[in-house]
Amino acid sequence: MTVTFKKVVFCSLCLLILLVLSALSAIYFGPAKISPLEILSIFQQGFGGSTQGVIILSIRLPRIILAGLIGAALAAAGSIFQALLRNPLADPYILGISSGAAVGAISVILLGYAAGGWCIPLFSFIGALLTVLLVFYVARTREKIQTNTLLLAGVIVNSFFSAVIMLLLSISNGHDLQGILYWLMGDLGQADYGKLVLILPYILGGVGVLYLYTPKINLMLLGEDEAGQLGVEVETTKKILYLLASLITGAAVSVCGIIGFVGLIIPHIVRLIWGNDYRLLLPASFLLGGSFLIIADTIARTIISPVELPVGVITAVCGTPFFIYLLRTRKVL
Amino acid sequence: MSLELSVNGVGFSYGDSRTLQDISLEVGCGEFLGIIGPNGSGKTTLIKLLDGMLTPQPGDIRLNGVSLADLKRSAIARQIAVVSPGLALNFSFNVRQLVLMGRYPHLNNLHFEGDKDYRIAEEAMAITDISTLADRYFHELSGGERQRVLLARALVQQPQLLLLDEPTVYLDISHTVDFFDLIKKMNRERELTVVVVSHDINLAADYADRIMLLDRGRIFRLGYPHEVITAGNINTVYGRKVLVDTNPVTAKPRVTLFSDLLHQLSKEANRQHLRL
Repeated sequence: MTVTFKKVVFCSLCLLILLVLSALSAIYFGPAKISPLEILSIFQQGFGGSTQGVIILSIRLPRIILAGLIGAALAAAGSIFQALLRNPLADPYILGISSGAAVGAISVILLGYAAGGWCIPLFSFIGALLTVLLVFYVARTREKIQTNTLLLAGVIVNSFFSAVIMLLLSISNGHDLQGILYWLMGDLGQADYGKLVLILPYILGGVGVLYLYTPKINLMLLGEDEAGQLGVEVETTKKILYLLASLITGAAVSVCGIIGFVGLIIPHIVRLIWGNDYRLLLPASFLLGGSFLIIADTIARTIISPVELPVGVITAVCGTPFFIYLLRTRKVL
Repeated sequence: MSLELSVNGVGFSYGDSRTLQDISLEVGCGEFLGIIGPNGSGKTTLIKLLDGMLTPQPGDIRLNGVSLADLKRSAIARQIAVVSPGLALNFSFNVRQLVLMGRYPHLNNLHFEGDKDYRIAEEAMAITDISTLADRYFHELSGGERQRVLLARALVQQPQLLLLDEPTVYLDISHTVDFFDLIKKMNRERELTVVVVSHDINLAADYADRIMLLDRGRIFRLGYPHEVITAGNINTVYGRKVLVDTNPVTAKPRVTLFSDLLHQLSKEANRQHLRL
């Protein structure tokens, strides 16, 4: 159970191989049948050229990379929220980031600016950031953030924005409604390289900095007094965890809407396999979350092809039974 | 290594009501100080102040001449370790993992424990007699085992000052004596300075060099056990009549609780016995 540097490197390498394998196999699946050999030659040729080349390089590849990145981001952020709130049931959306982002995205759709492709991510990211700051401000008392107050502030802000979402849904017309619902259920279909470049720094940078905090996170799991006694600056650490995990979540949500279950289930699967040490749990959740969402998205777009299912449906349907199985076979969380 | 803890005119309040007032004392290297007092007299708050988890207002607490308020948490944790009465975990860790966490303030930027840290942890687990529990989960352990794990983690911090807040409330009499014997040994052999809060006046009297009796946030008496633990002092602070005699084993004062009701009942029982 004890975590050493070697163990972290070894487990991360194994999960990285899994991630690459799931990405490579995901390229093969899709409505257009393209053989592995053709795919290989398309990679050699690069951009430009046949329709099949466009399908592989401009449609499937960015989507797969985006799925991997989003899954990784949500799983990492979920694990951080679980530690921050010392609550195994926490997920990246528990403090209202998703509903804030949704209000931003839906407003843009209703105002008719959705066509450009850039407006929805931009405004939902702004919505997410404003929510993060609002919750932070509401939860702060005398320079301190109390975990229970934070949770309560998040839940209250979340339910307020949910009401706003309901209001916006009820006044929207049929055409907009479909776009809104797709966003709310999580949609990876709008992937392009521009979006990837846009969110990559937030997610990689955020997770990278969070990794430096993993020994502190371990101690925070014992409780704030314990962490302080063992040498952690608790208040600073809480603020940094909250802001970074929120930033990662906001970046993820802004490009693909609300994809559920990844952020809750993946960290727990890692916990059940390797325990609660965040020096391993954070990188393992990050990598496994990527593989998981790539596989889930591949199923979502191929299972009743050519119709695409919302990926959130697949994450829930695949994730829940596996999670129950792990819970029943392993006694402790 | 020398350690000097000086507390100068310290007070503290949660909100409006004063919890502690005018606390001044010096704790020297290798000393064993016992803190006693009724519920709500400020014992736990004082422990938190001594560890720098709370900031005194007014007054200051200096560790080897440096104010705790100016020290980083990790610098304090390298010198002061705390054992609290109970630890409830939402996330499971095994015993070895928990004990190793005591190495955190000593870790370098790589964040991973080295051979030396593992050796220190194994040694602490051997001293506290929990080596056989190393791979068990903390939440599966009994209260006594848990407290020994927390003590091992505190020892792994290699502190000069050990703060104990009711460390043996959940322990049976035998484990309590084992626990305190171990602490006393470390106190003697390694010059580990110990401050212990206890509801058990006799335990404090037997093990501590000096006793501090707190009464509603102020020091009522501070001195050797036989100076502080007298029937008069205890009666004044706790509002309870007690008998104080001498413990035949330790030659320290021994407190026997006095209940008017039981006294009455036993007198009646005696009378009936005589009549028969």
